[in-house]
Amino acid sequence: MKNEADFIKKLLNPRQRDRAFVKLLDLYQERLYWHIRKLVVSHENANDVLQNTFIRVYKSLPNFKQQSSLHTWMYRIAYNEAIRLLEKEKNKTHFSVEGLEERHLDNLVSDDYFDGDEAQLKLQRSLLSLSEKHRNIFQMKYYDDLKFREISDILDIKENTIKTIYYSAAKQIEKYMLEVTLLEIKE
Amino acid sequence: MKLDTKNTQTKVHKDISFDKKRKDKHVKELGYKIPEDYFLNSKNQILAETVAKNRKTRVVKLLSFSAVAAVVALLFTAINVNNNTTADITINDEESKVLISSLFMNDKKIEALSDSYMLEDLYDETNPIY
Repeated sequence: MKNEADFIKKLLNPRQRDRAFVKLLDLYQERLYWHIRKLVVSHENANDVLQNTFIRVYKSLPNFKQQSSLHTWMYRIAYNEAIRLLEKEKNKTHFSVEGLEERHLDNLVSDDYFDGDEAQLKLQRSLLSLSEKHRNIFQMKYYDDLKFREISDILDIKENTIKTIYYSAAKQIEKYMLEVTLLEIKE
Repeated sequence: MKLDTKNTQTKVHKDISFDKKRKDKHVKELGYKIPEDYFLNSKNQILAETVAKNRKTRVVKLLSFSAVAAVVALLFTAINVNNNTTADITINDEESKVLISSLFMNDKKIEALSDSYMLEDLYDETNPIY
């Protein structure tokens, strides 16, 4: 963001904070929504997490130490809020990891705001075939257009490890899609 | 300071097209949908939960402080006017009754009053293009 320093100054100044917060909301609402949606899948959950994210951002602004960029800080809060919701669900249902992924797919298909055709469902299945870490990193890079360095800051994992995981995830998806397509041809 | 309008507009267009590209990617590739006007409604909800709530708290504090100050001033005046040595004070006039009753005003009534203008006030203050 251009003039980020000026913008942060406004966010930290109690007299200018509210106006700056509205701009922050305009800038980040949509991109954070999509980031969250892929993590929690259903629109309803994504909406809850988005609200919680901005409430937390608003409350935490006075304590923003600028140790990371505003961009990374916002994504990290959104990511943590999404993980908090997923953990809560995990504890509620006591599902195994495999069970949780099945449930993830069920949630997706039963969501009123999912309108995927066969191809889209196939891609969603291929994403769910990845481990949670691989999936999150792949999605953050491919769909959220985050830089490797930013993903590394958000997840607190070394940049090189992120790169390795991303390329490995991309290969796994490619392989999954190819295998499923071959199976379909055979049938 | 001269505003770099051209640059600002380019940036806004870039952000909008970037968001549109991102939305297309999620809708076309992953099959996600969102309700109509979702982002506008969600923005209003978030602002009501953050900025408006914060302002409301400040207004309620200010109202409470003003009401207490008014009652203290009223009592002080009443004592002085009557010049009584005893503290036997009766409050008869309507204005005083209103002031005192505002002290015990229901929070919901205060909320309703402040809610109505908070968001409007905020939108008025905020320039939509930055």
